[in-house]
Amino acid sequence: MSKESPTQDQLSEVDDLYRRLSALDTGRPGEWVRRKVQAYAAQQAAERALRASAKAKGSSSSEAPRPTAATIPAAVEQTAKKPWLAAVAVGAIAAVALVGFLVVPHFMAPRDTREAAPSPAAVSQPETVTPAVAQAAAPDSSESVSPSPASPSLQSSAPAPATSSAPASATSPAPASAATPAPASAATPAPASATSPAPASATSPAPASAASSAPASATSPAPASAASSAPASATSHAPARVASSVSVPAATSPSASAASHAPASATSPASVPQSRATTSLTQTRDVPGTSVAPAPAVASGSAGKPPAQSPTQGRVARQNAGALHSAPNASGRAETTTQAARSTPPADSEPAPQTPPASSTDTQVASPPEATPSATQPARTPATAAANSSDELCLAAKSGDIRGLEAALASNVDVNALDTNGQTALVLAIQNNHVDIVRALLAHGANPNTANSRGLTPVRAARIRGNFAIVTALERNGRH
Amino acid sequence: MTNTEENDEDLLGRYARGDAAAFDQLYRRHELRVWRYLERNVRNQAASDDLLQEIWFAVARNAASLESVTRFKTHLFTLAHDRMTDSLRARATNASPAAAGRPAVPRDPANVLAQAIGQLPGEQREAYLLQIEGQLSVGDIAEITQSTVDTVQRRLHLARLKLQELLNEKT
Repeated sequence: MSKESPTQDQLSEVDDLYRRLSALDTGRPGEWVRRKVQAYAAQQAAERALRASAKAKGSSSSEAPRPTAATIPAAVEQTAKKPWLAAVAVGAIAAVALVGFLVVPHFMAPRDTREAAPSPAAVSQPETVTPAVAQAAAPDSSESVSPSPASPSLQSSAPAPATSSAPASATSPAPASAATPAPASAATPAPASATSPAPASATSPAPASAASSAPASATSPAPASAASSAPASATSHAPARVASSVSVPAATSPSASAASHAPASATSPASVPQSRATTSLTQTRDVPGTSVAPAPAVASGSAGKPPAQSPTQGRVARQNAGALHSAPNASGRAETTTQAARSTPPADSEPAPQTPPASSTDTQVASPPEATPSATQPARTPATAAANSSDELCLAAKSGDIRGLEAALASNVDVNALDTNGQTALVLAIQNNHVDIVRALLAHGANPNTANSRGLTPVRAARIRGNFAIVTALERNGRH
Repeated sequence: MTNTEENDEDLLGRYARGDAAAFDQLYRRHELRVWRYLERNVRNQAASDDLLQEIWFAVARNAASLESVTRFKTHLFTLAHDRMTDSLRARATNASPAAAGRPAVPRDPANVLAQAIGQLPGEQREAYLLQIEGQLSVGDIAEITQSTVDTVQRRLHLARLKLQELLNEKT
């Protein structure tokens, strides 16, 4: 590879003559070429520097969060400067410990004890709070009605707190006893319901479907909420939890209808937990706008209730339901009876914006949330579909996935199409030295002269890679 | 290139690390030679400009991966050769003298040289231009043109003979 100069003087004179004549040649590359090249090079350099700085930041940030020996003494020193911080910390810890001692034993107590002797506060609380919920808290809360299998005609509503963690209780495995009348009273405070193993729905399961719904509530969608046109249900993040409440809005309470118009509760996941006394699942389906309002704070207590409740609680629930029925509807509609619910159009006929994303308009407890494809998935245009197909083809070509390539080719994708990065499958396969992919592409009609968006031809790519097997394959397939 | 000047590989390395000025220096150093190699093969100034742009775009784009290149000039003319070959083949252009794009100006020294170069057979012309413009060794030319050293030497010899004859006639 050594440089060789012409040996003959005669021939060297030709070179001198060439140089003299070439010096007289005024031909030069266009100035625009220089500008474009320099601009492009500067851009590339800037991007490269940006990537390098980003990498440096990434590496430094990964090391930053670790507490170092220097930071810990600094924190201690800061605490020393503010002595009241230590007192506050000790007080907070003591408060937490006290709360733990007081609350935890309450949860650890056996259910029978609570069932046998319900506290008067628990009985009276629903009565006092429920109207307030139905009237005052209507805009930002949704009611939950627990199905009562024992009393089909009974329509008891048990409001649940909007912020209640009742969903947790809904997921509890505690089964609901169908024979037990729907208590729905549930004056249990929100925290209790949150940690209570008994779901709100469990206290009043529906006879046939509701009873099964109580245990399966965790996975079942929120039927009532879905049926309701309330935006709350539409945006609710816990439709499955609602399912536990069986969602049958047979006993549509005023608060329920009011809650249907409450978008605020819609966003709250806690709005889902509901317990309704319903008679039939069909009723729940038919109740469109009513239903599924997130239960107010009082309702959350029902979540903490044990599945089986005393008759006293059942009576309280009935009274509560009656109070709710008698209460005026916030929306001006009295949707308190199942007949009214039946008369209402099905949730499926609800306008699109009101339907929840889960679109679980059915009240079947065990039925999973049905996602409406039209609502959740954007329509795929032919252009995007073709782009995706070409992307899949190029991805398979790049990775050397012969099966994926064949699958993509089977979908009648244009084998010469550019992907979103402006690359062709053939060039990608060549760049990654996938000879079998190259041959497969050529066999399927890939043009060996089609360059990518950067002007890189397959042959050039093969030469850069130094793969002469690919070059030969290209030449055999019409590369010119 | 004096001893104080940075070599091509160092400039490329500087550019790969984000120094755009190094690329400018590299570009100015090789711009005219590459362009003449292209223009006297393609015989089309606009096409030569396009090819020159593509080549330097590729250099700028792949600077990081080209840092390991020990002979940048050889790589640069390899790029030029391949791009030019693809372009000529794609357009099915005959690089014969009849396809000369430059207007014929009698007695113009540059035109005389262009016509004489254009009358050389393609392989001889390319080998000669790689040596005279690219200042490449026979081995490098053989590598670029994917031929043997002996073949390149023979082509160079024949090219000089033919060129001497043509230039003597025209001048």
